[in-house]
Amino acid sequence: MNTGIPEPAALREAADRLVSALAAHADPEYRLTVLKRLSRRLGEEYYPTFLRLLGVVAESDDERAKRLLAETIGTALRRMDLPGGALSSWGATGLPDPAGPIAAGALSGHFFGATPRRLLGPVEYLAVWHLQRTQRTRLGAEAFRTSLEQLVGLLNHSEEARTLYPQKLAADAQNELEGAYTRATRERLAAIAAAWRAGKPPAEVARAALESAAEQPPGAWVVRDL
Amino acid sequence: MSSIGSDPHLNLTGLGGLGGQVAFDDLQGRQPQGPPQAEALRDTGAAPPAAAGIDAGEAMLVADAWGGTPEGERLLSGDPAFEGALGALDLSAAADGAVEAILSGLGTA
Repeated sequence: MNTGIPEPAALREAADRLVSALAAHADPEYRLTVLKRLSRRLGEEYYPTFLRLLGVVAESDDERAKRLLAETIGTALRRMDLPGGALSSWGATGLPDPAGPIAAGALSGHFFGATPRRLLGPVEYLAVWHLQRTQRTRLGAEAFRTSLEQLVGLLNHSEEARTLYPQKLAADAQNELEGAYTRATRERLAAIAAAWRAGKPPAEVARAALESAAEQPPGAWVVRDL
Repeated sequence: MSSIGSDPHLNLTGLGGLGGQVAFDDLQGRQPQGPPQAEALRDTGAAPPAAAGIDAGEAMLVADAWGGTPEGERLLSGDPAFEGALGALDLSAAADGAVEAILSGLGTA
């Protein structure tokens, strides 16, 4: 029966091709382009497939593959150009850039009141998917923890990614104005950033992300999410 | 000490664009329909069958990839021919070819 989920061999094959593709050229721009085009081609609905491919490499024992992928994401972090996935967000404005001409596509349903979307990097995507109301059914705690642990373990193979990603998350956690994240999400991002920056093992980073929610007082007002 | 603080592009204002990420990656540039391979996933019921209430993406996120492979032997074998073919292309063409091949690998499951 076709379950709609790729067979294990297909997932490994796709991950293998991803790593071979990154290795084909040493140019960091090229490698980043591969990741960005892949996430873009998969689109909003299938961004979790992109995350799963990162996870397949993370679960492997292939240190070279992990380094290649982590260093490419390190490049993306340095350029502030992560391969992102879109989730709906209550505070996104979707306003066109006033500095340039307005593309017809900018005046889309998103602009005129449909649920706005925000592109989020892999870690932020997992956090928002687990913590906020989005167009997807909420990500379960165990899948969140496992995926986050894998991702942190993978990214730790690049010094640049290991340094820059927690810094980005910490900055995101302080940004109350942008509207991408609820207060609970910002608290969770801050917990991830603190544990990651402190050099805790990936499992502890993921655990810290979950524990910070448990520390919230029960029965908090709904407005805490705003 | 953070090396990021003094970079004017990495202050909160700069990161606003990152958080919004409409600047990271052009949403409008996305194809309204997925690629043929993604479409194939849709057609074959990629939306997971998993238990009610489980998102299709979550089913993908936890999909087994290494079942039965002992730890220590989970190696990605690589494809030297594929890597060599991409290496012979210019960067943009190689990136396009890479994405097609990766999606094709998923779509032929």
